[in-house]
Parts: sequence; structure tokens; C-alpha cells
Amino acid sequence: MQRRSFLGFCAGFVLFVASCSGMSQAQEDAGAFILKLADKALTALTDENITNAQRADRFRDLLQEGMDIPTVASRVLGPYVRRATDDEMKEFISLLEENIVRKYAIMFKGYSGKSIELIDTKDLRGDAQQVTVAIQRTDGEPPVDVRWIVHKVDGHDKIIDIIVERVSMVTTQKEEFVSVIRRGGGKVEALLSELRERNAELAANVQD
Amino acid sequence: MSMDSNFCLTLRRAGLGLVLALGLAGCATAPTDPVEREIYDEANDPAQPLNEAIFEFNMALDKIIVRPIAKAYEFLLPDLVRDSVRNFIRNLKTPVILANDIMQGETDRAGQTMGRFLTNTLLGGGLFDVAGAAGIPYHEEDFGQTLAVWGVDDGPYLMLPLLGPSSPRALAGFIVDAGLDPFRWWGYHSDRPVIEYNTAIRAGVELIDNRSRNYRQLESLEENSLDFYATVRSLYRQQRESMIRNGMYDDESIPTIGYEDAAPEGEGTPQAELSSPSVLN
Repeated sequence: MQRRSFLGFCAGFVLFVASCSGMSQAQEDAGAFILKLADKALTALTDENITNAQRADRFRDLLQEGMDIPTVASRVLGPYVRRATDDEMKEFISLLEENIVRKYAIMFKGYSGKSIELIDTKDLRGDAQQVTVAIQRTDGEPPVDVRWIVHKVDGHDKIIDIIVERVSMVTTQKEEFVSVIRRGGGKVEALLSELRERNAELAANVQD
Repeated sequence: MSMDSNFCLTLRRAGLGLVLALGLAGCATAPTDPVEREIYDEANDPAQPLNEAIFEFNMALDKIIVRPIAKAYEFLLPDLVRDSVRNFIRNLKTPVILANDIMQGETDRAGQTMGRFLTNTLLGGGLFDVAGAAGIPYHEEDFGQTLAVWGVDDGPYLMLPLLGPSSPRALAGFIVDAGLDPFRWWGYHSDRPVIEYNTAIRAGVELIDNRSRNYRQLESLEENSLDFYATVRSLYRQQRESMIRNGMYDDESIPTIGYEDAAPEGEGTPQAELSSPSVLN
């Protein structure tokens, strides 16, 4: 009796250790993926000697490499995703990508190096993982807590949300987009036309 | 006399308008279309038309008065002075924060609040954040957060004139905190103007100081948003939730509920995925 429970305990322990090592392997991957991406972005985008157009192109490459834009696109439409036609979805994905590039690429210009520290990585329900980093601030305030939600697409890590101090980009963007569609009579096209217009404006504003 | 009655009339009209608007907002029926209904419920903002009108009013006031003062304040005063102003105001909030730390059963944080107060008052004269430099950071607590910890729901979104985004729970908390603040009571019993009006002075200074620290961020947010009202509502709720949880993540509450179902790969699949249950039925 005692022996059996001892054997059971051993088997359980082995399984536990095996699952732990498997887990930490996966965890390190996602954490390393984020650090590598951040490093690449800082090297490529803070370069003072490139034009804004070059910066935007480099940002777009990194975005396509690191973010699962189709998934993000379907999340930020909220319940309206059920109303979007295939064509609308296709156009929305490319408009959203363009919008992200136009909004954020310029912010890297003149960004002075702040250190990024990997805090931890953990598995979420489903196949997603959460990578937590702390970004030191230069003004003496406590570091900023940034969490990257990452999942695998064809074996590659891709970001599906970024949570800064508990504020989720997907949630915020979703409420904004859903409100635009609702005001436009519940038509996805209302959002598409606003995005087209906005992207053109943003592109015109940052020309060199 | 006539000016008085005119004023009363205007006030009464404004009041009547507000009551009507509230009544209309209250009467607004929820949409019947399932998608619209889901969005209506998720927004939890039944008084949206009224809230938006107040939001416009607040934004106009901010643009004309608050932001220019905040910018001048930032431009004229060195960081050291602004930091001291903030430290002084924060230090005076100690009784309210401490009371709420205790009501939430947060003994460690109550200790931090007390430790900060003693250190900063005795060593920093209330003007320097000595405790913060020593690794005991400042934190806010209010009775709205305490109610949340006690399990009270926040209720629908409310946009308050001058005070900004809120909820019935946060508003109730605001009123209770006002009663908990000993410096306010001191003001009621003093004839010295600085003391008598200290609550209003503190609120005004805090508003300008906060605004001087975040106007750039808010301006870029406004510029980048296609629907600033919805963006502010979303950010307010998420930040409020973060404060209630003291910045901690609770595994159950991480906004990942949607991530567990495998993401649709191709365009168009979301529809198929989501409509399949009804096909099965």
C-alpha cells in the first residue's frame, strides 16, 4: 500500500518536473521573442539618419513579422466582426496595419534609450502566453509595466495584444472602432471610410 | 431683485433641461438587434447622449481655461517646485487614503501610507517625497475603490460636469471621501481664508498640476482617436479597474477571456466560426 503510493508519488513528480521543463522552454521562447523584437525595433527605428518614409517601412516590416494583424483586426471589431463581409475584413486588415504604422512609427523618432527588463513569462489559457517587461522611466517615476500577449501562428510567435499598466490596446481600440461603426448606422463601411481618410491625413502630415 | 429672479429663472430652466435630458436618456430603449444589443450592453452607457453633451462641455472648459493654465504652470515653475506642490497635496490626502486602506483590509498598504506621511512630514516638511526616494511609493485609494473591493457594482458610465468620467459607485465614493477628509472639516470651522477654502484650493491646484503632467499624452490621444468619447470611456474604466486591483493582475480578470478560443486564421472565418452554433441548433 505504502509502496504503491510512493511509486505514484514518484510518477507524479517525474510528470511534474517534465511538464515544468517543457513549460519553461516555451516561456523562454516567448520572452526571448519579445526582447529580440524590442531590440530590433529600437535599432532600426531610432536611427536619426533615416527619412520618415524609411522609418515607416521598417516599422511595417517589424509589425508584419511580430504581430498577428488578422487576429487583432477581428478582435477590435467586437461583435461587428459578425457583420463584416470577406471583402470588408480584407480591407480592414490592411487599413488597420497602415493606421498602426502611421500612428506609431513616428514615435520612435528621437526615442532615447530606456532599459527594458524581462520580468516573467507565463502561460495563459489556450495557446497564448503573457510576457511581462518593465520599462525604466527617465523621470524617476516607477517603471512602466508592459505585458505582451503572444500566441503561435504556424510555429512563429506573434503578438495579439499589448497591455500597458493594465490598459489593453485591443480593448481600447475595440471600443473606439465599435463606437465609430455604431454612429455610422452599424455599418462596417463607416469605419473603413474614416480609416481611409485618417490614414491619408496621417501620411500627409509626416512627409519629410 | 429682478436680477435675482432672472438668475433663478435661468437656473430653473437649466435644471428643467437637465431633468428632461435625464428623462429622455432614461427612456431610451435598448436596441433589439442582437449585435447592437450586445454593443449597447457592453458599453453600459444608457445615458450616452447626456454624457456626451457634458463631455463636450468639459472639453471646452478644459481647452479654454484648464489647459492654458496648466501649460503656463508647467512653463513658469521648475520641476522641483511642481513636485513639491504635488507632494504637499498628496501628503494632505493621507487621512482619506489611510481610512480606505484600512477599510479594504490592506494592512501593508495602510502601513506604507502611514510611514510615508510620517517620513515626508518630519523629514520632508510635507514638500519632499523622502519616503518615495527610499522605496515606499505613493498610492491612491478612495471610497469608490473600497466599495468595489466590498463587491459593489460600478453601475453605468457617468460623465460629471467638471469632475469628468465616473460611475454611481465612484460618485458615492467621492461624496464619502469628502466627509472623511479632516482638512475639509477644519476649513468649515476656520475664518482664515486659506484654511476656510483649503478644499477648493487643493482641488484646483491638484487639477492644474495633474493636467500639466498629462496634457501632452491626452492631446496625442485625442489626435489619434477616431472617437475620443469612446476612447476616454474605455481608458477610464480600465484604469479604474487597475486602481481597484492596486495594479495587480488577477489571473481570472486578465482581458484574455477571448484569447483562449483559437484565433481565426483566414479573413471571413470569424463569421463561419460564430454562426456555426446556430447552424448546429
